[in-house]
Amino acid sequence: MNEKQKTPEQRPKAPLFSLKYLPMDSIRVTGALPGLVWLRPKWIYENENAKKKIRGPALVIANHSTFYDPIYISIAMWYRRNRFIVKKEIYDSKAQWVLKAGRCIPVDPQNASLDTIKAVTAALKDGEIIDMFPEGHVTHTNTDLEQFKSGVALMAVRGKAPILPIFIRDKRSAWDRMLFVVGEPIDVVGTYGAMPTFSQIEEIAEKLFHKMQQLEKLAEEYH
Amino acid sequence: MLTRQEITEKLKDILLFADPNGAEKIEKATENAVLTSDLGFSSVSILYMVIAIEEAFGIEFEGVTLQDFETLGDVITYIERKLPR
Repeated sequence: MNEKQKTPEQRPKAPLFSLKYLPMDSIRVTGALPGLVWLRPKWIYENENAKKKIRGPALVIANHSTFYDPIYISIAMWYRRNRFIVKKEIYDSKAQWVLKAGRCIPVDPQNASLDTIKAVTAALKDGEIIDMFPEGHVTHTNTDLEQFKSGVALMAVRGKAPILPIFIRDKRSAWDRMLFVVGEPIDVVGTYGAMPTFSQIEEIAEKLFHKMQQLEKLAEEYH
Repeated sequence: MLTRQEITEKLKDILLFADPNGAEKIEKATENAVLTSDLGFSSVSILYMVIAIEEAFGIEFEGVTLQDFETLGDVITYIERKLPR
């Protein structure tokens, strides 16, 4: 059996040190200590299944209320290298070299492109973790989630990857702790198959939105 | 090699599978049907259609954006050009 035929679980783990991941790992390591000291993150889980670490591919989705969310989600998924889907206008800015080094994938939220879908699908089929914010932009609020873009569902079904929802509750004061509410991975391919209908794609996006609302409620109830 | 008529029928089969709720519109659609306004496709629906076409026809969409496909006829023409002669 060659590498392509193996499932992500059967493939060997990514090397701990590799030139390919050096810029990405440098960013992670540099940000980890100040992040942990300042944020003092706390993880809570929707249920027992949500506690299991993700070994294969996954599309991680989160709410997006601040520009720091990519850092927060990296901390939430500390045990895996994460690749981010980044707005094209940010990717095309002066920060491009950092984003390229971090292996980010550009997307135009108003006009989903074939290149983005193909890049995400290929990465997921390769067993990688892709992080995205399906609200499509920073909402600048900690209270109201905005409707999710349905492209998230298409990416997951084509990449044959589960979707892992994480709700991020920002620190409410300097003494507060950052809270990550981790949901149970959602197997969209198992439920809808690899080629759902248009209305099922919309239905998946709707379900993910409601799941995120449930996780938000858990965050509100946590003291 | 598939004729334009055969490509149209195969494409409509793909669309009928993907959008059974829009079956009436798809069956009646001419080549001038605009994907967004006449068939009610979103940008994600068009992406889905492109992926399904790649798999069904064994071709790859290269160097194009979704804006290049305004009508059903534009999609059929692109498939026709990409299929081996």
